[in-house]
Amino acid sequence: MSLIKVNKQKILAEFGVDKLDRVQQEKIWRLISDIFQTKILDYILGRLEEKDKEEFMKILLEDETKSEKFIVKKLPGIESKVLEVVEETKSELVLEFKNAKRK
Amino acid sequence: MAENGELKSEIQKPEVEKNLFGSLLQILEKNQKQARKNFRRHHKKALKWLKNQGFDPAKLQAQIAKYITTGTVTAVIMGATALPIAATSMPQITTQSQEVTSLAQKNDLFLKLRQGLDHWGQNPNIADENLISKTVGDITSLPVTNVLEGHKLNRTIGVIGLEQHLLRYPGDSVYGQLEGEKNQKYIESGMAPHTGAWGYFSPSKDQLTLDLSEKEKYYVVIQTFMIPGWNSNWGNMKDWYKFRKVLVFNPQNGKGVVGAIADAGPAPWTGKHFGGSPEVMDSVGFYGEATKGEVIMLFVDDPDNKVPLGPIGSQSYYLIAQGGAK
Repeated sequence: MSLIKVNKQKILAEFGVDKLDRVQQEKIWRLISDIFQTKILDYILGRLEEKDKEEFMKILLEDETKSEKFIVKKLPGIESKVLEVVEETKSELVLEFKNAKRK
Repeated sequence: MAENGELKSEIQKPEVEKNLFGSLLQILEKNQKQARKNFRRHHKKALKWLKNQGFDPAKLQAQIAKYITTGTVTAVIMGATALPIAATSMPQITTQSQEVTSLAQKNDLFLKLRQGLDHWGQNPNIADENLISKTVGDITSLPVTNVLEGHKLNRTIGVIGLEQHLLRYPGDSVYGQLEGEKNQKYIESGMAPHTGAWGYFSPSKDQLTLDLSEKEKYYVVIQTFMIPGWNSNWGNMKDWYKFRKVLVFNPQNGKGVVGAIADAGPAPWTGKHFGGSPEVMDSVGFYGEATKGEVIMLFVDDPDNKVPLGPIGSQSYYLIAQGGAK
């Protein structure tokens, strides 16, 4: 069970770093996924009521499968929203990187 | 002229890649910092509540990582088995917010960890695993974690058993592996007749590097087939786990060794949960006197490959705890 699927190699290719060595790719991917995760969590918590937010965080730390069922129930259509968050974040990062390269 | 141009371009390539990498790293680090800052600002109240409940808010993100399935190369656990929920954390072990440097602090944590293990047994819940991970990290000063990039071993605490050496390349022999007087004691363990789950370490003797040789020397066996999602996502997960660094920590004597995952096993019916090469077992005090024992197994978060394989440094926190070393 998972909320969304992302293609790591495709994303690295969009940044133009898919040909770097494995250690460098891992370092970059770790940061990218860290940003994705923070933004997803920020988004989900932002959509929940304070009481649900606390319950969700507690369940999440104990069993992510249950927590996934919880938010799917509380926030219908969350899968596509989460994907939007990821896509938007990725586009912003790619753009910022491209602009920096031009300088 | 064109050849010179191409040559120049080849020479410049590593420099260009270095700049590209550095520039992207800078942008990502800046964005990561900003995203985290925003997150903390947006959910200050809820995070404070979570902390007061005895949970580590920093672990939220590792759990969220499991919502994302990553195609190719790296994959994350999907649908991990539900862990026992009841909070059994020992309240007297408080995770340190600042770096633990003094031996007295490490000694204190080590003793509390041992007490905690008696309390938790071999099946701690996720909150307790987080605590174990943090405590072992503080004791050993190593970047260890029970969840790495969304991956989690099927067990954090379990029984490790002695394994035979593995074939590093076609035609390898135990005598070729264990040259030198100090290695003679490991010969009796012999060599497994087959390769490990990931095949040979090197296609030939000539291509065997010191790094690959060290990976075999300090290899660790994990029940990968019991990790949730392994069978359905084997193609991606096997790459992630291959040679992944782990810390094997003996909570009874404080000895530890950084090893590399290089085989799958042991079979569940053996009653063992992990396996280790003779050198791994020796490093944690289970060679010669015993062939198995209880250990804590954690990932080593080492993306820059800075943590060397082999026994970890001083165990003086244990010696002091026992009133031995000064």
